[in-house]
Amino acid sequence: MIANAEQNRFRPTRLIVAVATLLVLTVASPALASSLTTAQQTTHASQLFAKAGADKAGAKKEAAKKGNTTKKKAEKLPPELPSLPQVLMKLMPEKAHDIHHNWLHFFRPMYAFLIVFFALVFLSGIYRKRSILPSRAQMAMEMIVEGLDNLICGILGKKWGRVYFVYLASLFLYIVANNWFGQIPLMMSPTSFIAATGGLAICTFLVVQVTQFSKLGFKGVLHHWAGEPKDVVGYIVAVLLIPLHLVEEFVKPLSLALRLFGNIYGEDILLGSMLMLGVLILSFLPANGIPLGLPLQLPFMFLALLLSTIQALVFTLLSTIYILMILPHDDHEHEENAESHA
Amino acid sequence: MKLIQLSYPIGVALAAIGSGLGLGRAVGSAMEAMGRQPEAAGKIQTAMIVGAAFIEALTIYALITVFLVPS
Repeated sequence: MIANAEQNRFRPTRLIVAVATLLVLTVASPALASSLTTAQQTTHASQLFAKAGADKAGAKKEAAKKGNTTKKKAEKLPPELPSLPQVLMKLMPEKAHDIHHNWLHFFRPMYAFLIVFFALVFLSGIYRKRSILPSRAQMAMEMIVEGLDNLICGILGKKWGRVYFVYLASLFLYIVANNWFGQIPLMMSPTSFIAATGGLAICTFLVVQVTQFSKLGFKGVLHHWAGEPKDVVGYIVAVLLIPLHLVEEFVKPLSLALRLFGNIYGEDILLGSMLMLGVLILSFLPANGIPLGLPLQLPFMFLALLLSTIQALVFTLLSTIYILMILPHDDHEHEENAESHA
Repeated sequence: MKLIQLSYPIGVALAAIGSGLGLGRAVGSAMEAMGRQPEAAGKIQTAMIVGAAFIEALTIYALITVFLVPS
């Protein structure tokens, strides 16, 4: 143990290099962004014009799907930090159309795949080399897993907590990894795209509905949605309660998706606006077309890290509570909930 | 610039008023509870953060409409 102390001493060289790289890229991103927004907007605008003019049949579908194929919207995209495809589009303008069409559209889902892949590789490496005397990485992972276990089993109880821990813990770690990945310079978070958060909400929706219908049965579900009526008044009120609960079953995943998407996309836009502010502050300097800027978005990046963790926690906790609501629980608590609904 | 385009920021500002009031009440109650029982501060803090995220979400919905709905 004492002989290993010298090898186990924490050498911060790699950490310092990583932090320094991040700081340099953060300071350099004002210059990149203010020179790239025109590139992004012109290429985006030209793309939209080409698409809108090319096919009339698909134009209505695209307009309904995206909602931003009008000229005004193409000129006023909300400001965002530059991402890797945009940098490459600026460096290689002759291939800009190809990059935009093939890469930028699939950017965010592709990064979701990359995150999951590398996270699995890293975590499986820790798991394979586990021992009774844990290494630092193993201790960190054990802390995280134990914290999640306490959280989920504290809400769902020991028995059901272990069953749903797989889904809920993976959900939390996935959302946290996605959100944090977007704060690396030149990267975007996959959850800043409504399709990704919508997909996660659909997963929760499926888990909740499958659990509900398999545990209670169809008649049991209707009985539960009607607030478990016991007398005539209960049955009369049930006619009102069932549609209300039905709508609620669809609104709850929708609110999950919109909450996560709005927070992460809003943070991206906040960072972009702060970046523009940084460039604006130093715009009085007589630079020869080289945009300089104060890195004002640094504190907001830390804020984004904190808030995105909180949003992942909220998503997971809400999914846990939705599962808790349909598992067999005390009738006393359920009557209170039914009264609060009606 | 049309005057009607001012409606988006004013809508978000009104939503922010509501969330400000709600968050003030929630965090105030949390502070009071933590003062009464300091040993439960951890649990109260967690519940306060989650409640704050709920209340904030309503303002975020208003913010989303500014970016997703074209004028």
